[in-house]
Amino acid sequence: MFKKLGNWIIDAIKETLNLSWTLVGLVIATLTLTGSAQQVTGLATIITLVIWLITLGWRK
Amino acid sequence: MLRLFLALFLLIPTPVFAEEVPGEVTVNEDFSDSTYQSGLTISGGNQAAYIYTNEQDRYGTTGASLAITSGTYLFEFAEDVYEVGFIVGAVNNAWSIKWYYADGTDETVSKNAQNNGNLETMYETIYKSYTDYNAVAENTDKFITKFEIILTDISVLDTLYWQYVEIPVTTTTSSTTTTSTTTTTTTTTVPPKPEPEPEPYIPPPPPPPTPEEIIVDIVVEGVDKTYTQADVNDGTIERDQERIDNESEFGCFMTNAQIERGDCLIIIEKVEVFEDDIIEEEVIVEEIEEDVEVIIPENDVVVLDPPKKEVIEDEVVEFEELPIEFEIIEFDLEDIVPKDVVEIPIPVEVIKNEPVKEDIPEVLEEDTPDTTLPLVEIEPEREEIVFTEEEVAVEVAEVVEIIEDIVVEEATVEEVVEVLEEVNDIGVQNLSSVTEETQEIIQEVVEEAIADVAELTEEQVEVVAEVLQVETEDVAIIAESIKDDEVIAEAVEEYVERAVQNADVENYTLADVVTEVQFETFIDNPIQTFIDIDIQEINFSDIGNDMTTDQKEKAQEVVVPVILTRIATMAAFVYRRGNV
Repeated sequence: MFKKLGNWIIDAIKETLNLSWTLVGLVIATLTLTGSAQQVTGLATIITLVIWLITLGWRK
Repeated sequence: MLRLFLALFLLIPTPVFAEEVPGEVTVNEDFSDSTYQSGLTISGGNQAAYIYTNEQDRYGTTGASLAITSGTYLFEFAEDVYEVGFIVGAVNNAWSIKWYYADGTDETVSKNAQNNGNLETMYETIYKSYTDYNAVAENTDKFITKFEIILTDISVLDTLYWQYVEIPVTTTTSSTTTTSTTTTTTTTTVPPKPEPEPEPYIPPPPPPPTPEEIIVDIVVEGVDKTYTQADVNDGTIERDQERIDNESEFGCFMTNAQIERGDCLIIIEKVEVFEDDIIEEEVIVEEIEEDVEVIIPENDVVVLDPPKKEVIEDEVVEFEELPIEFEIIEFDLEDIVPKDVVEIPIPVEVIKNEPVKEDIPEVLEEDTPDTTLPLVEIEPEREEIVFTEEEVAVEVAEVVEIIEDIVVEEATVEEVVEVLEEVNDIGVQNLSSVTEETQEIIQEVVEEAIADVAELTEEQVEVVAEVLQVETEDVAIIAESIKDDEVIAEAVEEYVERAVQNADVENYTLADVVTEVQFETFIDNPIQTFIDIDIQEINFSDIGNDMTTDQKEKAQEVVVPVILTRIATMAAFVYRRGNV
């Protein structure tokens, strides 16, 4: 169980690193936005990233 | 025979039938100084009209002119005038003139913005005459009592003249004749004769127009300048002579009165050196001698003949003798810079408001012959205004002068807008030479203006928008956002300070400040930035409506490339997998 979790964390870090440039762009985009648009972009970025990482094994 | 009569008709001199106006008086106002001709009152405007001594002989002016900034300026005559003429130049936006007549009617004439392609010809001549109309007895008199000029940007008015009929004052005297007889000791008083009917006044024929005799001829800077008797009488020649003398001495083409009240920039710079330590007069005099030598000839491009040391020393002695000057010096010396020397900021506004219209080329007409293509509006790039050091100093002094008189908490909307207009003249990013305290006051004024945006007129909102470098409609969005968005509130609070710090950044706007503040907040606490989201406040139908246009454009510049890059990456990935 712990081994699976450990592997998943490693994979998630790898996948996140693969998305580095995209995430940098989205963070900058979030910082240039204001008001509702900023909140929606930030929220969408986090939710999408979480879903992306959770479904890592399934998508493989 | 017919030809013979025709020849005779042409040979015989016929009298001129044009009727001269008897008792006609023509008054000319050249706005050479702030004392206007009697019979003329100038009032109104968001800022009082003043004599503009810069850009002489430009915009159709002759010498100095009258600067009218914005608002409604009223020119009122003491007499009923039947003819008025003047020139108006440097008008970048649409403007209008409203004429008021003696019969109670009025007339508004709308005018278009003037073309700034050539500043020498950027003016138009205004002429209003009812000479012939008023000459017809049955017509209602159309005498002009006053007129208003309504405009939105700083412009110049010059060469004003008006004509009216001077009605001579006729006095009727009655006499009583008394005859006395001493022998009979009775007195018989003869009653006064009935007063004869006063003869109708026949005005004397107008004197022939005599050309003004030129009595003085002086060469000024290589230009032959002539003066008439009228110039001698009203002191014009003396003032001009003073200007010539003062220009050679101090590099300022000003009268003695202007020099004495401190209009000359040289005096300001010279005195700034001693602002901190006015202890003993003798010490100050020595410093003045040293510093004036450096300041005047090297830095001031206006100086034609660098002053000799002896001349400056003489002037210093005058300062010694006038303790009042030193009292003024102990206060903020930037105050004494006159409004007369304000530069008119014209090109930017013109470019902003005058789109260039261009027809679609003919090639398109071949494809769609029955379609009329719309005009394409091309907004040219803004010209960068580069201020000289002197211009910056003058503008800054003007800003400081206004700010010193203002208490932000108690300031009226008009005062706040006036400060912002002055700031706009120089640009927020050019305020680096003012003290931090002054910057803070300007900052408070900006915040005050945004807080009171609901009370501002459309024109005043435009002024606020220009300070923040945003669109007019965005000012209301910003005012609303600062209520519940700490980042924008902080950005507005720090706008002036950051704009000054980023003076070398082109087109630095409030959106840049917002991004900077958000970035700093993110660096301080990255997680908090993404966690601090109130989902309940998100209104999906209003997404983007609470952003300023400028902010949207800057966001687009980032978001669109990010999306395109991501799509390209995915496409490359799919392509690679397809080939495996």
